[in-house]
Amino acid sequence: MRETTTPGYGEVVSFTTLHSPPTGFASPLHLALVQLDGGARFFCHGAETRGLRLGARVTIEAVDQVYYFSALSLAERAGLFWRRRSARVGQRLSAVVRSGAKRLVRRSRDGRDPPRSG
Amino acid sequence: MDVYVAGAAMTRVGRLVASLPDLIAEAARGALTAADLDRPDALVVACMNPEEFVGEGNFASHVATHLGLSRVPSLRVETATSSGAAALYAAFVSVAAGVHRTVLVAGGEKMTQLPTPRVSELIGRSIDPYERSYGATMPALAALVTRAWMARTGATLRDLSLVAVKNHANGARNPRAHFQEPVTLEAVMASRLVADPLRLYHCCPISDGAAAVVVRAEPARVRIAGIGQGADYLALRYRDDFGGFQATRAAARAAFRMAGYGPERVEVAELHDAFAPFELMSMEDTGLAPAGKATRMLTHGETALEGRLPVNPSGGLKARGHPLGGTGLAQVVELWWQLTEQAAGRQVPARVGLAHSIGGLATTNWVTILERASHGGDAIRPTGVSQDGTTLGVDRPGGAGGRPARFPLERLK
Repeated sequence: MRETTTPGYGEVVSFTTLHSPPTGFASPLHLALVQLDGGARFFCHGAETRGLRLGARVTIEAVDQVYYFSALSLAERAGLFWRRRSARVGQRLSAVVRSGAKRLVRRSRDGRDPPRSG
Repeated sequence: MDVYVAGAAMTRVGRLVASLPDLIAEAARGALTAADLDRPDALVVACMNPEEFVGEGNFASHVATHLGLSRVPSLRVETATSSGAAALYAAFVSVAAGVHRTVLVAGGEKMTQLPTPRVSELIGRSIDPYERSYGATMPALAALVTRAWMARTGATLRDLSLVAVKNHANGARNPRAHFQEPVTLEAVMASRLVADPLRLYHCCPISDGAAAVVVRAEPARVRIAGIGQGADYLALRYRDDFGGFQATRAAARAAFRMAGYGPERVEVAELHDAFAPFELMSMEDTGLAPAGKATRMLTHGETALEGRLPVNPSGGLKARGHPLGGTGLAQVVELWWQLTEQAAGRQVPARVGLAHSIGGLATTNWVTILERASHGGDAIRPTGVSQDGTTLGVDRPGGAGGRPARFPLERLK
């Protein structure tokens, strides 16, 4: 095994809000499983799961060896997106278009925006 | 050597007054009577945590003595919530290897006497310690898996809730079930959140109960055609695939390989619906439903009692109840009743049944395939005596169990 460092950004693999946590834990308790860009998967607490979706970009940080996730703001997400030098301009633009199209399709299929939790 | 189920029985499941050894004894005596057996060669006991739930240790010996079988060799098996199936496996291998001819397998749990947070804590001991340190409970991890599966298959909250409605409808026809009242879809969907998206009525209850089975080498009405175990990482975060259980797929592959056929032959199934979505996931993991098609089978009524492939005719863990160590055996008891046409009020036509049991959050899963042995020993056809004159070859024609076998000659005297 080799020790490595990886930036604390990743994707939500799954999340839940536990309404009857064990004694000693805040209620309700927000949990998420985050897949870091570097490959590792982390079990995290969070302040809320509102607006969270599977695949959403989040940042994680350790406080006293406990990991917390938080959703990235639009500005943070945009900054990360444009900073990725390996992506060609064409790829970036098509990614933006694809994401917009996906939202439109979801809205028209479900008749409304996808449900949010929290 | 082939292994047969000669008898099976179970107690009522619910909030019960009797002690755990008494419950297990009630089921055990019922199974022995059904098998027309006084004394088995061996006893295997299934119980997840008698030390903490009822304060008893050395539990196999405790049960053996309580049954009046103190001199019968006994063994306790534990694989978290699939202990019942694991105990059946232990008995199966000893009979298949020719070590014992008859084995009584009995299991159960007594949980309702403890406060719910304590029960939750004890069940939570099956979870990876690191994830438990984050406050993860069984419902929390089940919710994580459920959400990923719903995203992958497009299943909705309504689909999950229909599982609970179906199983409660079945439980209403099962005099042994914990819950014998139907529930409406609205009530299920409106019940309080436990771990988002799982609601109270998607989660199985805390139950007392016991079940027992007698397995033997001598032909009987039902044969264990295959039994398989699958395993996966303790920690959820290490798993490769998130929308389903690898351990179930491995167990099903092993069981079907032993049986010599595939899921298309299965006509009734008892699946481990500790949480309603697990029934749908397990239909796909065992191969009973094509990938992504389980919800369609449910909403089209294919898995209802009168459907093409009834799932959980007993009411499942949701309505029949989940007495931890006893559940894996309770599923086999139900299948035995179904295959021998003793499931009055909820009888389905079936010759091959599948029982699926999940241990922990899918770290040790079992799939057991039972089939009606259409000739319970009567219509065997001798094919010839061996060279050295010690064994007689026979053929058992037709039916699901038609396979050649050899019997030591002295057994025929």
